[in-house]
Amino acid sequence: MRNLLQNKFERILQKKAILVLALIIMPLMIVLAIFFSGHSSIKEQIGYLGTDITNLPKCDQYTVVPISEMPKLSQMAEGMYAAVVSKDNHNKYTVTTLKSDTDSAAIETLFTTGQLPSNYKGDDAKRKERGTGTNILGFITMLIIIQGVALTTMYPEDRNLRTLRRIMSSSANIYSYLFAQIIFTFISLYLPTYVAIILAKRCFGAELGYSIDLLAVLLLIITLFATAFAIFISTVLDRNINLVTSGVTIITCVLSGCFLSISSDNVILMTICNALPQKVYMDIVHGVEFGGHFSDYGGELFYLFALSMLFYTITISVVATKTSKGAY
Amino acid sequence: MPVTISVHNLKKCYHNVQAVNNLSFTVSKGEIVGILGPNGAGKSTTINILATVLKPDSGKVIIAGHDLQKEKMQIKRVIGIVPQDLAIYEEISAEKNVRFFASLYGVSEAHLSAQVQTALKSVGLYDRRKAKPKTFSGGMKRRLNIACAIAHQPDIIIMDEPTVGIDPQSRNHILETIVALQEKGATIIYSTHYMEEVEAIADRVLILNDGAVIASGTTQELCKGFENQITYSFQVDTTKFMKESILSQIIGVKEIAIKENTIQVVTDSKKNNLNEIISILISNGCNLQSMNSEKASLETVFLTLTGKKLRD
Repeated sequence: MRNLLQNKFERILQKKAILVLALIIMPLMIVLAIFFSGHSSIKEQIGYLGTDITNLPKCDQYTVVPISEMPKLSQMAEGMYAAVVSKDNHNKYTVTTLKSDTDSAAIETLFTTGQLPSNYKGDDAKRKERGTGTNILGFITMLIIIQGVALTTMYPEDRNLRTLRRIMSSSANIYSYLFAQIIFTFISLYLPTYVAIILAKRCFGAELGYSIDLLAVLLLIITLFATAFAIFISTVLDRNINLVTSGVTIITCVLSGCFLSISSDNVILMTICNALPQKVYMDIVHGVEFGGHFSDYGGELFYLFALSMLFYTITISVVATKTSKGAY
Repeated sequence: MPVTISVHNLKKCYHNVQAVNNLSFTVSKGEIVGILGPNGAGKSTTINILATVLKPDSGKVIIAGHDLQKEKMQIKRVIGIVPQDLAIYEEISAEKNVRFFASLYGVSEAHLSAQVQTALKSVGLYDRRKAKPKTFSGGMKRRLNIACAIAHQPDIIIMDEPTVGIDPQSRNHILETIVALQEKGATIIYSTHYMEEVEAIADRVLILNDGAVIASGTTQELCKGFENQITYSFQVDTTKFMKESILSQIIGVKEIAIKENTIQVVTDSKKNNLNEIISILISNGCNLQSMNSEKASLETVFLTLTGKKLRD
């Protein structure tokens, strides 16, 4: 077991791309996530295309600025303007925006009535409502899941090199090998992430939204899940593992509200979203940040634990089948 | 010599293909047994079963007194596997490779360094122990592949085509290493496609076909039934007018193969029919360029027993 672990660490030291990603890029992204999540966002700008610029509306969420010509769509995509509003000859306002219909309607209301609808929440307001800690861990969740699979790369590599067969013919067996891989992935995921967060807190005085102890536990939960997922996906897929993982992770993280809360009237979509493990994790993270206790989230914790166990069970079953067929 | 490997009625089926079919053989302690067989004969399946990485469907395998079904762990400790693939890590040093694989067999730290050193020396890689295999030639990688299998000093070494695609010097070194291992008391099972390797090192040969042993014995014993057989190869200017049916009428001729400008005739050497063969060739428009003769070899036996039909 110790030899298998040592072998993993010796080999990972030679994989510079993964090493740079794990030890530099990941912590850097985490620090940036913390840095930006901890700072208030700059108010978004609305460009007003018209001649009567004396009584432009004012609000907490947007700054209205007069502009002389219609900006390019790319400038709006870059975030230079949240929307552009123009007025026609019949005093009717037209809103051009890449934001949602709800946002578009609220901006139109701002211009016609002079204030935003009372129940309207812009992106910045939504972020504040989620809490800094939830925003940070939401972003980190995606990174941890993707990085977990990258750190498990030596397992499919051992299959391809046929070194796994050699290991299986020794006194070590496939299950002790898998256990060593799980320990390795977990350690390599958890430690750099935790250290990066603590360093960001110490160096920049960033507000995390949790105590160090709470953060350690929350990080532990998502790392344990990410490790189980990494082993599972690396077992069931033979190739394009990183590509598939990145795609699946990004989509499920967006749907889970890791970056911004998602709500829809579509029952099917919301049922799918609520079943996603990242969504369940975000519920725990958000609840704990706003004073909840872990015991309040027993069902959610059990769900994540059960899902992780299911991943391990499928992994063992697939490995047993492939081993009996001589695939390894 | 006591029997150290006993295989009885072994069977293994993959996707309705009977890879190993009632295979039975024994290997005595200290023996080098060569396993020959065309592609799909069941060599690798047999080796993977003996290496404990593949479960047989039925049959009994006893290795070093341990039953494969019941005492797998005890068997693992006494065997070393040299796989057909280069199962080594290119990015860590040769020494770390050998150390890692030896450590998996429970070699104590106190003995590990010495045993790794011995293994690297025996394959001629000690001076390059700190180098990474990605800087090695194909032959060096093959030798490292062997070192990784012998560092824990197993009693039984199972080699699956260990010399594929290497230069003659490396091949020669590997064969010398195998003989040296035998002299130290190791029992070796050696699977290969190269007849001359088996002729050079094996005490006994098993010829496998369709998952079963179709012949076994020493090279001399296997060639015994073919001692009166001789193969003549004629290089001619053209074979346009030559037909197999003409040559087959000569008494003693067993087999004829006409390909491009070469005519190969397998015949009974006691019949002294060479003059007759040559005169028929000439009378049928074949002008002789050169000729050679070859007595029955292991290859002759192998091709006769397994057939010349191409295998997938």
